[in-house]
Amino acid sequence: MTHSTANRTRGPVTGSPTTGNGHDPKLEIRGVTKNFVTRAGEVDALASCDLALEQGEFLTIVGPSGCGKSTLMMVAAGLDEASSGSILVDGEPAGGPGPQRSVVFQRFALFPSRTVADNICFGMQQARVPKPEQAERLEEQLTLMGLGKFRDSYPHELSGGMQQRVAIARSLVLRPEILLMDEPFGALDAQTRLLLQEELVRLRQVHRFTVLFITHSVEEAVYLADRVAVMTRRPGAIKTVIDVPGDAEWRSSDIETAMGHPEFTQLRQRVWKLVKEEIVAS
Amino acid sequence: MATTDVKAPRRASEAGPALDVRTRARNHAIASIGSVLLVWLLVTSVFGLLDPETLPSPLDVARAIATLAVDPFSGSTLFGHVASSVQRWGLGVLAAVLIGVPTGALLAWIPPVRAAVTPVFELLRYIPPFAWIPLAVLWFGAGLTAQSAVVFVAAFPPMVINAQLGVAQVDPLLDKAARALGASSATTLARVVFPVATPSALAGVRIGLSNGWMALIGAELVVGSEGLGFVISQAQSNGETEVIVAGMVCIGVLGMLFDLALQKLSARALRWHA
Ligand SMILES: Nc1ncnc2c1ncn2[C@@H]1O[C@H](COP(=O)(O)OP(=O)(O)OP(=O)(O)O)[C@@H](O)[C@H]1O
Ligand SMILES: [Mg+2]
Repeated sequence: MTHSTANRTRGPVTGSPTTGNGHDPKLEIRGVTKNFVTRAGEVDALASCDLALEQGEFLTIVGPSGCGKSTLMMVAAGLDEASSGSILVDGEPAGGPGPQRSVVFQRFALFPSRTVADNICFGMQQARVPKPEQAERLEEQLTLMGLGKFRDSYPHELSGGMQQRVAIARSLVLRPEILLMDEPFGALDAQTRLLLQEELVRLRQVHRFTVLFITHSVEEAVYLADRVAVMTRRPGAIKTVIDVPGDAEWRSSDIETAMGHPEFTQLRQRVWKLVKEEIVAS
Repeated sequence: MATTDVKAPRRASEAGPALDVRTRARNHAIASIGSVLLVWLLVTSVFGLLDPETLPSPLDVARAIATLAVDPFSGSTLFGHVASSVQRWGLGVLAAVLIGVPTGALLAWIPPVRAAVTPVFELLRYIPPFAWIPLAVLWFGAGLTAQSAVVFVAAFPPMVINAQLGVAQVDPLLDKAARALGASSATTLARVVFPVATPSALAGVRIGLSNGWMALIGAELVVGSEGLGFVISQAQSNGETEVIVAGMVCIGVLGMLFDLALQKLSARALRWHA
């Protein structure tokens, strides 16, 4: 992979199929609340959350630790039921989980009894992708993630960063329409993180998937996003959604160069201030 | 993409030091068993501290084993008795594995079933296997079936409990990951949950196997006319101490061999396990 990002076009892909009154968002989170009942009592994790992602949009979520980001993602994936509200995909109730809404979990969730290759192929096996194509896509991911030498290793033999790469590969290999990523680069070293950020931007140009991306890093949130959603402290709600201009000058540079750009810095500071208010207030 | 270039790890089982560890463990085993035999030899044959009626020397015991191997004792040779013990044990533990492990998995997977079954099971668990002997004999007669039933009763609880624990301890996130990747409930259970639960289930099988073996020998002491337990109880009536000890040695060695075999098998099945 190269660092040339000159021709990056950003912004949601318009012209998605329309229905009656305009076009439906690809993924819509509508009035979702969630409370957990535990032995210690009820925990309100999410106050009402509303978000709509256009087809091909990249939306990042930042917010204080414990504000309910992972919870929101689980609900959006169909893996947890909302206490109220609903998740829509293409305007229809989304129902149970499936490979079209692919998830990268914060805690990786690799299958410990399967090798790296078997972890990555698991989803394709379920979808009955023909064997030769499975092999081809597996190779592609192994190369992409720099995991070639570890194909026959078991998860416990890998470092945290490598486990995270397997988790990302396992998800990307399915070429999902919607990617739900919960701090997918959190365990990576700065260098790999940089490369994978670039790679994600590139893949998105090719595959046009819609991405909901949770991160602790405000820089990453601004750099990757078409829009940044800032969440309030728990019970989490969407506090503000900030547009990131698609034609900004720093768009065509890598994240390190972009960070030196005044326009980028201004945006970053704006987002950071919004997050900080929530941390201070709690 | 050129990410960081790192060497693939060597699996510990293939690495040099692991072999050393294994050889050393074997040497330790040989040394400790050897010392016990030596002390035994010293207190019996060499210094004559114990008379043969109290404790026969290892040489007498070896001779007794050799004789038992060719001359029938109470109906059959040593091999006959071993075969009948192993058969009863095998049937009992096989039934316990086939019924116990799936039952445990089911109990963990389906909470209402667990809620219904667990109290009954907890109660039955405190009735020792030997307490089932009279009933087993009344039901099945003093033969193969009764003995195997006692083995089953002894082997079943640890197999159920450990299989249940194994499944219950699987991280629910793995189940979620599997479903997010498009797996059905059955596939998730078979291909994600069971493999992860296997170490615990195997530990239960291992306990079950040894419990079953002990219960069998106990049952053979009390009822029946074959088997290693029967041999030592007959030898007691005849006052043949060396045959008693010979029987005990066979019981111990066989039990240990079964356990070793299972450990070998599980090590192969659990290559992924840290
Ligand atoms: N299964 C659960 N049972 C009970 N409470 C839960 C559960 N999952 C999450 N919570 C609670 O909900 C709140 C939100 O948790 P969540 O994991 O969504 O936070 P987060 O924003 O992802 O945090 P972080 O940034 O640290 O990953 C927390 O207070 C947490 O304790
Ligand atoms: Mg989280």
